[in-house]
Amino acid sequence: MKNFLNPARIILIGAIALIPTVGTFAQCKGFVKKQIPKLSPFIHNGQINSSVLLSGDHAELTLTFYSGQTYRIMVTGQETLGDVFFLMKDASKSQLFSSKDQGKTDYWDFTVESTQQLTIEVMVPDVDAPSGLVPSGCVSILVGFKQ
Amino acid sequence: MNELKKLFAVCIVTAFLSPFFYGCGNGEGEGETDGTDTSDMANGDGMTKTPSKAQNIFYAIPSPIELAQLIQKAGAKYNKDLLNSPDNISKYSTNTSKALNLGVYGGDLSYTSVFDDNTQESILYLACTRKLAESLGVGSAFDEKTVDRIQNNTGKNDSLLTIISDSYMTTDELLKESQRENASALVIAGGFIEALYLGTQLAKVTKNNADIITRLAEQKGTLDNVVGLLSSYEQDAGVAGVLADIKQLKEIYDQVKVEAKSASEAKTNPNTKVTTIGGKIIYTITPELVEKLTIKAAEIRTKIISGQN
Repeated sequence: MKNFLNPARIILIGAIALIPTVGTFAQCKGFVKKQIPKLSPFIHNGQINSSVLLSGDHAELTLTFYSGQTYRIMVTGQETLGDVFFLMKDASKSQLFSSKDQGKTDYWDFTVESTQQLTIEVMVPDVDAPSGLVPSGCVSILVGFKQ
Repeated sequence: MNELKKLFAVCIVTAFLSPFFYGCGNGEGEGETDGTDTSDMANGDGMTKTPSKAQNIFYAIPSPIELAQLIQKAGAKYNKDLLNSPDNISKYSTNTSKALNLGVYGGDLSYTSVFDDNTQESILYLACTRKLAESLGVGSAFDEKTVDRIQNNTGKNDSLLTIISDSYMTTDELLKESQRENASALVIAGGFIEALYLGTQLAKVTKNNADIITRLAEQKGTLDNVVGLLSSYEQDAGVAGVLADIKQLKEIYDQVKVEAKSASEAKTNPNTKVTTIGGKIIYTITPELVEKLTIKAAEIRTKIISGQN
C-alpha cells in the first residue's frame, strides 16, 4: 500500500486524470479552427462560441444584427452528434429559418431591414444509442459580417 | 491491494476515454449553464444515458470592427485625438486593467483601420494591443507576422480587417483555452465601451448626426448581452466592478424605446440565396438620453483608460 501511494505515483495519476480536460479543449479548438475559413468572404466577428454538447442538448445565442450589413451564421457539429441543425427566431420567437428545411446546410446568409436581436437555437438530435452511452461532440456557432 | 490497483486503473481509463467519445447525461448540473461561451466540457462523471436536454447560453457581441464600420458608414469622420494615448499603457498593472485596455486599444485599432490611410496609426495601436496581449500571456495573437501582414496589406481595407479579426479570435481562443473566460469577457467589454465612447464623441462633432445617433440607440440589445456576459463572471472582483459601471449605462438604455411597427418576414433572393428579414423596428432616443449616454460612456471609459480598474 505504501509503495502504491507514493508521491510520484499520485502525481502520475493526477497528470493522467487531467488528460481528458486538455484533450477536450484540443478537440473543440481544432474543430472550430477548421470551420472559420468557410465563413469567407465574410469577416469573422472574432468570438469563439463553441461547446461540447451531448445528444439531445440545445444551445442558444442572441445577437444584434444591424441594418445595412450582410451576415453569415454557420453552425457545425462533430459527426458523433448526427445532423445538428439550427433555427433562427426574432424577438417575438417567430421562426425565420430552419436549416432542417434546407437539406444539410450548415450556414445561412441574410440581411435585416431593421436592426434587431435574433436568436440562433442549435439542436443536437436525441440519438438513441444502442449501447446506452450518450454521444458527445463539439458544436460551434460562428458569425461573419460584411458591408 | 490488487483490487485497489484495479479500481484505480478502471477510474483512469474511464476518465481518459469518456470526453473523447462520450459524455454522461446524469442530469446533475445540466440545466441552464452559467452562460459561458467557452469551449467547456461535457460532464464526464458517468457513462449511462439519461436525457440531458441541457441548454447552453452563449453571449456574443458585435466586434469592434463592425461597430467602427457602422459609425463610419453613418457619416463620422476620423479623429485621432479621441483615441486612447499609447503613453497610457504604463498605467495598466492589474490583469483587469490590462484585459479591459486590450479591448480599448483593439477598438482603436479597428477604428483606425476602417478609415483609409491610417496604416501607421494602425501599426501603433497594434503595438499597444500586442504589448498588453503579451503581458496577459496571449502575445501570439498579435505577433510579428500580424505586423507584417498589416504592412503588406496597406490600402486593402478588407484584408486589414480580416487580419485584425483573426487576432481577436486568437486572443479569445487563447484566453478561453487557459480558462480565463473572465479576461475574455473584459476584453470584449473594453472594446464595446471604446466603440460606444467613439460613437458618442463623434456624434457630438458631426453636423448631420442622425444616423450615428440611431446606431448608438441600436446598441441597447448589445448592451444587454454585455451585461449578460459579464454577469457570468461576477464572482471575479474585477468583472464585478466593471459590471456595476456598465449597469449604469443600462439604466440609460432601458429608457430607449424599441417598437416593432410590422412583423418580421423572411424572403430569399433565388439568385444570391441571401434572405432579407423585413419588418420595421424603430429605436427612439431623446437628446437628453444621448447627452446622459455621452457623459456616462466618457466617465466609464476615463476610469478604464486611467487604469483605475
